[in-house]
Amino acid sequence: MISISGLTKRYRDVLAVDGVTLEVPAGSVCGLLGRNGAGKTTTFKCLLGFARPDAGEVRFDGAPLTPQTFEHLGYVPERPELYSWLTVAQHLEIVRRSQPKYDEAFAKELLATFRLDGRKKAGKLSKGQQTALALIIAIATRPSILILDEPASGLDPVMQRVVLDLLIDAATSGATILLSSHQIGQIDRAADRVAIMRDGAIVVSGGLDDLREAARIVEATFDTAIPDVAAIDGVTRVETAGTTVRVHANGRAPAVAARLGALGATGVRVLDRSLEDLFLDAVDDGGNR
Amino acid sequence: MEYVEILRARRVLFWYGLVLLVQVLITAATVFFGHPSVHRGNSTAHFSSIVVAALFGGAIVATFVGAGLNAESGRTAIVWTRPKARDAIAWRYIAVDVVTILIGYALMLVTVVAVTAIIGILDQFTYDVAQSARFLALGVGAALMWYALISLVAARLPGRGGLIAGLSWAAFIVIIAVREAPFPLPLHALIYALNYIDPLAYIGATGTDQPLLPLAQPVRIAMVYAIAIVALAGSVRLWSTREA
Amino acid sequence: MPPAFFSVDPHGGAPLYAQLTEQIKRAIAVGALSAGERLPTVKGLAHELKLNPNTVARVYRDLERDGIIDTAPGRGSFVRENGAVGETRRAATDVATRAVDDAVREARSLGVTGSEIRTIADASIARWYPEEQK
Repeated sequence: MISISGLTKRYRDVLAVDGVTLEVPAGSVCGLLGRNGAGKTTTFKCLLGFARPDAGEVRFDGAPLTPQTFEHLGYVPERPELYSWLTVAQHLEIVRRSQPKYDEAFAKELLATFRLDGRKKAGKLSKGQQTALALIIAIATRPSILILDEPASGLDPVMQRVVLDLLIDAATSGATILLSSHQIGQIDRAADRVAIMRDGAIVVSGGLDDLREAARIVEATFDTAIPDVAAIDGVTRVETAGTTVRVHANGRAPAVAARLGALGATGVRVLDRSLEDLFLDAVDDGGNR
Repeated sequence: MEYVEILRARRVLFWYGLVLLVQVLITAATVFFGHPSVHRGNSTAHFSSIVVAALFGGAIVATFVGAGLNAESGRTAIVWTRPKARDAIAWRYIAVDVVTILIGYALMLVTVVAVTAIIGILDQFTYDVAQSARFLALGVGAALMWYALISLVAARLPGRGGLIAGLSWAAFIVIIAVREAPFPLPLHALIYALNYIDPLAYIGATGTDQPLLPLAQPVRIAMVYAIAIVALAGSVRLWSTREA
Repeated sequence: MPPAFFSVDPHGGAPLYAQLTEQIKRAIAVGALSAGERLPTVKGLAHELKLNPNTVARVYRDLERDGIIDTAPGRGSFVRENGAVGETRRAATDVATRAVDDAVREARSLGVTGSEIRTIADASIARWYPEEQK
């Protein structure tokens, strides 16, 4: 379990992380979404102790971060930080020597999956292969907590699938995962929870299904004048275009739809919102995307 | 984690050793093909001057490994995610570096002795075991102090380690070179004070041990080690509390 | 029952758990999954569909709550044996009800009247259930 409460990090006059509170229950996969510069990477740095937060607290399985936490915590950075002059095998040797829980057979299997040659120097690997190596370094110990900062960047679609596979495998074996990604489809599949960051703060968070359920929109068309739909229980936002209204139903879409029908709407439709829609809504800064 | 530093040290020592070997071979070839460039006179050079001059071997190696810990600032994701305290990781790196510097020092000493032997002037030195031992202690200490100061300055400047190590040569040579220059008093005092953190200033100019600092040799030996230890402790502290 | 029988599409609009629930009900309705048959494990299906295991687990929980499947700890999940015919029918009517409902709602927004829809439905039934016309 990862518990973050009131995490705040200020760089001079920039509030990079603004009171972030987030809980990822054990065995859950939480996707952290946000535009570049929203504060995702800084949040990760604070989680891992690379940066000292100005306020707030982070706990892993109830305990604060210590060096021992890294026995069961794996981290994949936004950009792979490898030794260009060391071979792939030497990178794994670093892990073998420093991690009591290093799983050599699993690491070998991962090398084969990503088609990485152990004798090759990291500096000679393609961008995608470097990402893959950074991923292998992080998961070769089969960590129970995984923090991944855009784990599939630079990978081709086939390799992205492999990464998704590994994440789901890790999740299936009960790992707690917090990952950021710009690939919303990947988050949609892998995650069961989502948090969306904007300007350092979390603006939306919760179970993915609940969020989608809550975000459903009811669209109704009236022949006559549009009645006062804002008064309907559950309606949070109303947009009108001609004789058509779109109402945000806040998780009560079927009830609101029925009520609109009873009010004499000629056409009523319930629209599902994709995670992408939710994301764009949350980071929308007033038509100035 | 010091595994990386062992690999790095091995690489430094390989190239360094190769250059020294080439030096010995060139000397041997010069003598073999008959260019007696050294005139045999009655020299009174002390062997201890060779011992202390090998400091430069230690300093060369220190220049290359001194930035090792600094280079790890770009590998935070690997180095700081090991289940070990950061201080402990740093000290292990330093232990590897110190051993590497000692090896570098020894290799330089062996090379200089080999070169002088090939030229045929080894018998012209006067030998004093106790004096040589004291100079060895001073030379090694100065090399370690050199290394420690590079580490300290580079600790909070990620990516600048190599530059700082290179500039250390210019800085340390300039500091002792301009110490007697007729600068205005405040500047002169500053330069004079800087001599106390210049490892070269602790070395006697020649084997006759004319110190650049008005301190007795045992005091200077104690000071180079003390400065080295304090600077290393400081660099470990700065490095492990850095923000990535 | 090959797990590859199911597939979910993150861009398909409906939440993934809803897509999967619908598909399992449909599989039971058309007989691709028969009574007493064992469903893929949560882990297996999550892996196969590249879908979060908690999402799959939620689908199974919902199906169990609706009496469509039974889950025996340690043995897996099965299409309900007891009253299987009734449940299968219910799964089928569930799917059909939603499809008809969507069609009617759509027709209404297009301005088609109730009696017109009834005519359309009768024609459609006549086409698909010729045996009931005799």
